[in-house]
Amino acid sequence: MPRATNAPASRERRRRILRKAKGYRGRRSKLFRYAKDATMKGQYWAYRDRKTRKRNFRMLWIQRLNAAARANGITYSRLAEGLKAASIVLDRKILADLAVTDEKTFASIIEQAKVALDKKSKSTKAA
Amino acid sequence: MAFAIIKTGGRQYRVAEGDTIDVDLLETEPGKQVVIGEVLMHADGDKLTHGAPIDGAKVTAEVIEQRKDKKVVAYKFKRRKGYHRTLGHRRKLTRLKIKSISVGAKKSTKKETD
Repeated sequence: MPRATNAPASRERRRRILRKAKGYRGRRSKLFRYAKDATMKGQYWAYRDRKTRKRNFRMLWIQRLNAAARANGITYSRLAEGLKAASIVLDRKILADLAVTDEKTFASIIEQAKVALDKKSKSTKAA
Repeated sequence: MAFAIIKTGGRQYRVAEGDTIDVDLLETEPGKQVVIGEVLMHADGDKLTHGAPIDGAKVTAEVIEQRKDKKVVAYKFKRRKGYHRTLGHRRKLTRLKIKSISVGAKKSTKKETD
């Protein structure tokens, strides 16, 4: 019976992994044994971190907003309350971007939030 | 610089006239016009208009192309269970060029209060 070999297929399989591992450091890009683990983990983490990225950016925007809000004499927490009262529906990405690139617009948004906050606290006291 | 904040596909975008943006797939064809009615804010220098969304305001854009985003690979793996899956995905996008931003009916710079 002729000897069955699977060498071309095996080689191709390993080459596929090595191609994915291009640019990795040291033996992780050169040796199949290590490249396999590296690409596996790389893809696994990439999949997970596409989700965590969304949280991370939200956290970053909130930190920026807090800093910018405090510079305008209000805390982030109060600002969020005021924005809701003023029915400003801009999201945190946009607000943080405005805070960095367009201080004047951001300041006027804060002003509106403050006004709405004042009105709200007065109406609750009266009730 | 005048810009508007618009909302489409659950995301908010800051756009000015002439900008090119990628938004979630819209049911149109290249070369056609789309009108986005959800304008949340408009700023022109000192003049600010707010709304949720602003009544009558709209942003007109031209569809440049219906395209797909770069491929992302979703690799799922459960250790000690012999489970792994590889899935490719390309998000469908519509590339828009912003033609005009109109606020519609004139309003005071401050948000209307009652």
